[in-house]
Amino acid sequence: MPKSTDYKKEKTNQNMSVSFSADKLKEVQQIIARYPEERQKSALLPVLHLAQQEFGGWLSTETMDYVATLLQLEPIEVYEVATFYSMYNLKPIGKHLLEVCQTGPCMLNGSEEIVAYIYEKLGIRPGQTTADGMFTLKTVECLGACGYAPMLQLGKNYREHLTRQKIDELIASCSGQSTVATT
Amino acid sequence: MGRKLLLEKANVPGICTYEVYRREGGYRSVEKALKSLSPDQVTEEVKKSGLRGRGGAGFPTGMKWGFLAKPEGVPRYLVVNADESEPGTFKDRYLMEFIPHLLIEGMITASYALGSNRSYIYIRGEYVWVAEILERAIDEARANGWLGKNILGSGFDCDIYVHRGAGAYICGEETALLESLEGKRGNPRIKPPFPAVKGLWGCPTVVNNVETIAAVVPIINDGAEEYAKIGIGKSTGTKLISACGNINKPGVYEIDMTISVEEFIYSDEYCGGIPAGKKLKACIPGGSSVPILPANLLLKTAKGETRMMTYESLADGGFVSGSMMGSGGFIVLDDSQCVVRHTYTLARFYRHESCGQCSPCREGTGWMEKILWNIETGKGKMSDIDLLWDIQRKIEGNTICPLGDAAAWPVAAAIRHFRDEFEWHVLHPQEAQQRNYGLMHYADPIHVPNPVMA
Ligand SMILES: Cc1cc2nc3c(=O)[nH]c(=O)nc-3n(C[C@H](O)[C@H](O)[C@H](O)COP(=O)(O)O)c2cc1C
Ligand code: SF4
Ligand code: FES
Repeated sequence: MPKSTDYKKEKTNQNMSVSFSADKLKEVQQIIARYPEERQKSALLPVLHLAQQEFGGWLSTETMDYVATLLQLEPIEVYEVATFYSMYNLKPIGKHLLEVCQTGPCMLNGSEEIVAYIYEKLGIRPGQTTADGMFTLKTVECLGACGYAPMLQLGKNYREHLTRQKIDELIASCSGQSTVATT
Repeated sequence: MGRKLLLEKANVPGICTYEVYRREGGYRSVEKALKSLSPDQVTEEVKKSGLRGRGGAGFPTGMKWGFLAKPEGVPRYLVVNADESEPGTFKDRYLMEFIPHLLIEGMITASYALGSNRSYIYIRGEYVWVAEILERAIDEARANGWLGKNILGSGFDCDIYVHRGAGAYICGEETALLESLEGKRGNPRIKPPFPAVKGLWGCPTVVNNVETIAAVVPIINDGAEEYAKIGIGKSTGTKLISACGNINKPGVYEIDMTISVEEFIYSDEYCGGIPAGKKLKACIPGGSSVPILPANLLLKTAKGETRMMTYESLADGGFVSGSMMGSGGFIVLDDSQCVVRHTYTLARFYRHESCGQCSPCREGTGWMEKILWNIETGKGKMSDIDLLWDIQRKIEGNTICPLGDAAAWPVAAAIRHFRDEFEWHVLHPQEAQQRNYGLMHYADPIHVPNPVMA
């Protein structure tokens, strides 16, 4: 189902000016070049990924309007895409986004216990962010790692075969209390 | 040991680099095709090989290529479907991660056959690192003259680009995928026109699964006849199966389609049996969209024959007593699992992923999820089970794309084969909160009607 959202009401990131660096603008040009001439609308999904990465981990109205200008699209064409796909965050999120897969195969291997354990450790339920803005927890549907369940996505990476100990380590390393890197 | 055609070299150290891949015989199929075969001859080989689409529907690949319209002066496109979002399926990821050049090699040969000078890989957005691996492989292939202008002096130009999705199962459906590649919402298109006539940017397009395109490499290298010798009947060649759930050795296996389901589950070469002394209760053999079967019907058909890991045998008995090969996502449930809860998670998945264009799918998936949740949490009524059955019947066949069917079938099969487990939840709501229904009769030998007519 398309996500309904009140992004219009969200405040934008105050101190962040929404415009790509020269390097990133070059990257945008490279993305556009993947498609035939006149087909630069195709660059929308990749450019939104880039924008989200550059502008604070979510897409504000300003960010979407900026992308529209860059690709010469109507803002509505950007909004309707941003609201359709689950990877675009339409609200600010914590510094670290924990996305736990909850679909059947992961459920068979204990994904519910992982969500419960994260609550025990951080006091957040799916959809919530810790008070210090460090962690956001989300439950997501199958990420294509069913054989390595239970699993979660943290930023660009998958963390698989999760256990309580691995969650401990992962939270510790994100919090900067330890340098243990887990995979 | 079964024969391996795709993953045989996947564990050679360094195989994801061009040097090692080439040293191991990589890119020979491109040389052979571009130097000694015409595009039509390549298509002909694929037809003769009997290769069927590995994305789920099992449509003959050569025939699909044959349907591609070729109007003068209009570009044609090959788009590889690497959206891989069907719960239980993670085989394409394995192939792309470990042996990315195999996909690139298959794509060059397939692009030559189809006349595509610009081909795309549409990969699910979450596979960020896999997209990076593919991009590296493409750069290496280009640097070594396998992509670009006038490849091997043949006059054929080709380039390949990776396009990342952004989290939407529906974009695995081929027309939704094309919409998404055009920078739009992933709403499936009404067919006809089919992509073969009007696909990407209105041009003739072939959409094929990753594994399908990779299989073109051994077909061209060894010849269609060699390929077709492997397997049984119309299930030719090898198939990647991603096995998960309650098994000792989850992972991706390449099988030649001559082994039984029982061997696949219990042999140490594959899943290695069920862990912790538990027993097999049920299995969804082809990804979340295909019917779930109880242990007894999984291992033997209703006729009492051994069920094999082939397209035909898995489908034997139709939806009454069979299932499907689907995408090869093999999900095993042991006797401590609850079929109602598992079905609920799938219903939730389909509700989440419905694009919302058709009311039977948009409303029906949400309704089924709610009812299943009620039954699972002890708030269900007996009439809810019949209501679920009615809802799934009304979705099936009444929607723009097959996601509606894919949402209906798992519910239908769960009720068909596990009705008493649903009823037990309704009749014993408290007990159902504390324990699961267990194995009960689901592994009992099935009664095979006496074939001799009296
Ligand atoms: C809801 C839905 C999701 C699908 N997801 C995928 C997918 O992730 N990967 C895939 O290859 N095919 C998927 N398909 C099938 C494609 O529509 C298409 O048939 C397939 O990519 C064709 O390739 P093949 O002939 O090589 O199998 C999906 C179909 C539907 C209806
Ligand atoms: S069946 Fe469902 S997913 Fe497919 S087009 Fe209709 S609403 Fe969208
Ligand atoms: S069900 Fe969790 S990754 Fe597939």
